[in-house]
Amino acid sequence: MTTLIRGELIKAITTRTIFAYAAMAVVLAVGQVLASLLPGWGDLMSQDDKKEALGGLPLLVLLLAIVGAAGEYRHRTAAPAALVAGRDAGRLLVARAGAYAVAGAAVAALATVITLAVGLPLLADRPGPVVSAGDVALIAGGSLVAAALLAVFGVALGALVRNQVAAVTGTLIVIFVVLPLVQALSGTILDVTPFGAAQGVAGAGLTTLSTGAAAVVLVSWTLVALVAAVVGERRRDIA
Amino acid sequence: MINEDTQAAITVEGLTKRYGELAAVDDLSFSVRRGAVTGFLGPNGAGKTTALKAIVGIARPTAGRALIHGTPVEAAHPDARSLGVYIEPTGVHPGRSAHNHLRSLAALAGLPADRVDEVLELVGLAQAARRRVGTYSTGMRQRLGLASALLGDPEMLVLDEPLNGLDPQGIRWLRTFLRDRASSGGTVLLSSHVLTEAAQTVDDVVVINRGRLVFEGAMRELTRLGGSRVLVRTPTPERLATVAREAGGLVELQAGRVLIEGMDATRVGELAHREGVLLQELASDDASLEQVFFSLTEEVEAA
Repeated sequence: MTTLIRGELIKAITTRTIFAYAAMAVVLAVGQVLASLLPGWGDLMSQDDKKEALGGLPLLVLLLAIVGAAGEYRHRTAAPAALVAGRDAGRLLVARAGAYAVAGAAVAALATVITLAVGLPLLADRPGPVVSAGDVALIAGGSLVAAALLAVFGVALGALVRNQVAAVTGTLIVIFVVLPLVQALSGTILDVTPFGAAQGVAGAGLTTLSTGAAAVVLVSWTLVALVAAVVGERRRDIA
Repeated sequence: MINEDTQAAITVEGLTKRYGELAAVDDLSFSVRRGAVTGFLGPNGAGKTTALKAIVGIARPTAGRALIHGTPVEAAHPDARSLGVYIEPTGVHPGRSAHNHLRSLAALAGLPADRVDEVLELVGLAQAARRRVGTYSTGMRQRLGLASALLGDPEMLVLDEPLNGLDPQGIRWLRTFLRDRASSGGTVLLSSHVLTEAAQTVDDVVVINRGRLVFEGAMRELTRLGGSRVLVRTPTPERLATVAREAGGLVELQAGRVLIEGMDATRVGELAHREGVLLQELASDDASLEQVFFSLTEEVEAA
């Protein structure tokens, strides 16, 4: 499995896509810190709000994984990979998910380092309770874990849908249209969706779930999606 | 115990692949032997690529199966060391360099990274290896596909239209390469929609049309089916005509030339030598070969 993950990782990092997403992730991370901390500068800020300002944005990692996995079918690169590896397509998909988990965590690590470099000095000057080093470590670690799990989830979605445009557009519609509507009906239901749980793992305080419970919810969604994608991959033509 | 020398390298049994109502491949059966180049021929849309995909295991047949050395392909899981595949629709990300593309495949196959430079050199892409594939010409992409197939130096090669887009130098190189492979005991199955193009490379032929088998046998049998014709120039045409007629040939005299039907150039040469007839020119008529291909495929369409 290590050789398969290595091969898939080489694929993931040898196009410009990952660098474009990493750059966007950094810009968005800085934007989120500034948008959270600068308005009402001088006002008292709660500890939860301060932690949320440092929380990661795993959405881009999800999109990166969807684009990468669905791109295997768009560019017809899934077949040569399966042919040279001599493994069944399901096993190869698991390796691809592992590779994107590593790549996603690396992008999240970069964004987190930039977020902390910009956010921590600003937080120190903002009135309100201090965010401890332990809390910062938990947020940073949570962002990486959330990014890795969402990357696996994204690979599964990309493999299930296969059409790159449909997969990305569908995901964006769900996140920005469907989920807000669902949230309007029930304020807490968002917490148990993969996207809500991922934010909880990445440091955003959820109403109904602790960080650990959010991690369990996210792992469950990820496993279900990955198993469905592996079953689908074994039943469908690779090319 | 099964003897690998006598067992077919590839066996296709009742292979059928349907897309809805359309049967792209329909109850196809044939075998491919070791130590030979086998041409998989048929007009465009005959189902060659679909059949090849099922044979190498990247498409699931609706019915039937393909066996590699006697084992169903889905159980054999051949890798880059045993089976090299180039099928046209399998591709490369246009934003990735050829070197990185092959590096990823080598890693997936557990092959040493050095092998990447070797195959790039072999197919003549070493100079362009760091360029993004999106900037490549059709011929360069074709060479990269071949490099992928050759990465693990496999005993068996399955190549879909490998001569397409290659320049004359590339075609000559590939023909020699494939002939050498077969001579050293390897197995080569290559598809083409141009019979005369493949005729110079292959030993055996499998012809399909509309997904069905229309001919399977040695290339020379196909040539014989076409009623081989030979054109001869000689200072004594009447004498050669008499000899050829006595040997069963159909002879036509044409302004100093003799057109002989029903025997190949080798046979005519032997007769002339035996009878002491001087030959100034001896040539096979390729038009008859193309004609047999058309008649085979038209027969199925008419049926």
